[in-house]
Amino acid sequence: MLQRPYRVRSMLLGLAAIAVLSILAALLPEHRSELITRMLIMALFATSINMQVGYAGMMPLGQSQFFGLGAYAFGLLCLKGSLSLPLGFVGGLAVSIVLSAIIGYFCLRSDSLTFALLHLAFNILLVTVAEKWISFTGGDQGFTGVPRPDVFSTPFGFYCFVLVVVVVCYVLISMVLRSPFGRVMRGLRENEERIQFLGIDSKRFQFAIFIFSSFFSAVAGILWAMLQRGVFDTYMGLILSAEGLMMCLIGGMSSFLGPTVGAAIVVIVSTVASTYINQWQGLLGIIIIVCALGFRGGILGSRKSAMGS
Amino acid sequence: MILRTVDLTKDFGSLRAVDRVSMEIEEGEVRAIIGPNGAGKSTLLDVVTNRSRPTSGRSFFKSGEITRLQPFAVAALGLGRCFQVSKLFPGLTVFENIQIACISKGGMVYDIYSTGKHVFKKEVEALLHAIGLDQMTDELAGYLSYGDQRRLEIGITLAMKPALLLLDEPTAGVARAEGHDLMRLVKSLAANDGLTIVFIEHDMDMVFKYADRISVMHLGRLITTGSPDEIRSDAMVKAIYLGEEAS
Repeated sequence: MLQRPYRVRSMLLGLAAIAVLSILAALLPEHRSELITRMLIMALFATSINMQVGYAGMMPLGQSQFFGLGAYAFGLLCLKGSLSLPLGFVGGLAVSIVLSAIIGYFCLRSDSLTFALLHLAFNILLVTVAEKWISFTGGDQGFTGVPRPDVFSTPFGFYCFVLVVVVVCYVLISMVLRSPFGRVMRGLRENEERIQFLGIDSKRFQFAIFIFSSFFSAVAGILWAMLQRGVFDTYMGLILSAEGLMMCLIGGMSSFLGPTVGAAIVVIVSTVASTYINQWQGLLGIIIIVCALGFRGGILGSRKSAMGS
Repeated sequence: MILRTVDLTKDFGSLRAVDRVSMEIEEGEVRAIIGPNGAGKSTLLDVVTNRSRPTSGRSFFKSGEITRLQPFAVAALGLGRCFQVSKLFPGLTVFENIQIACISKGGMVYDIYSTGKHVFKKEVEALLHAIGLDQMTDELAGYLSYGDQRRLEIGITLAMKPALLLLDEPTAGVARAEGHDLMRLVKSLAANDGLTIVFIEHDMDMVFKYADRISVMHLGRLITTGSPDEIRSDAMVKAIYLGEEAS
């Protein structure tokens, strides 16, 4: 879709953004530089959601379940399973993939509305398990002591670790979106029945998207567990599922970096504003209303909002 | 014989929309299906492609049975379908619309390594030229004129290189001259690629001009099948269909 000069320009912009963020992360005091790390992780989470929402036209109402699954699986494997951090990372992702395959199988039995509601239902089910199975998950107290990579244990070091993981994930995601597979994803968003009549099993195709998207959500969840050095039930909470969708909506679902911008705004508002205003979620609500009505298609989406329907 | 239906029936509640239709389509022919509104023509196509399940009866495509297959599996076997209301990817460009069909035909749906932008570029451009949309490559499909959307829909279906093409009122809502262009296009493509075509049409000019054989449906039943001359002189057809048209 993008012309070549456009791509070079967006790559330069991306590099510039990374440079600015890194300088800020190095210079700011610890509790501020952590904000940038949070933004990066949430940006990955939002971008993974947007693979489904913006590109494939699916509506995953409970995506925090995979964020949480990644975090819990990683944390429990490291602490209760006594696995080393790299093994815990891989193991956490493996557990997330297996469970997302099972959940995806059931969510994709029927039409798109059923998909959205089943997705939410599984989210509710999983967060209930996380809250009630206290001996295993620590219930609403969660558990702490989740390790960070040794070499990256300083705040700036950990920022660098997160940056590398997130950039690698972005490269992989954009590769998928630019591939023939990604082209068919857009077709699915535009007209599922036509996809079927082109001889493509749309449910099987959606299943593949589902696994990809959940995988990257789980990566974000693992990073988050490392950042907080612990895992809590809010990682699977419905609020986080909603926030993830809001990030996509605010930043713009029709562009690759839209959800990243949305994530930055949501993280800044929720962290900074909450130290000054008690009812920060109200402020977030206002921002969403302004974006939904003011810039149709989100902050980065206005130039491509001319979609026929 | 490329398509055969045996006693195909579809009930919607107590309404029998398609009533024990047994039909045979020969390879390479251009077959029109005509009949008054509500005769069950579109429903017949839906049931054949399994867009909706038949209540009873069976259908066979080439040598295999397709009665219980999913729509995507039927399509993958080479049975292409154009709808009465164009089913396009409205937010994608004309080029991308055709390209997705080529990706499916070329077995690259699950390819996540190649760069999507340029795959099947030559094939897409050739096809766009054939359907006369080569000047509109970068237009969004949703913004095309109605006639061009019909063209694009035919193009998408042709990109699948089907053996049998089912067209539901290809020229409805299109200006008469443009309608003839479309039918000539379809017919020439059929002749070149040995494509079999079944089309539903209300415009009798089109039917008598382009069809090799004509099947007449009425109240869900297949009344008769014959050459244009036979149908023109068939008394029963005149009574139930042409008579209505004249009155």
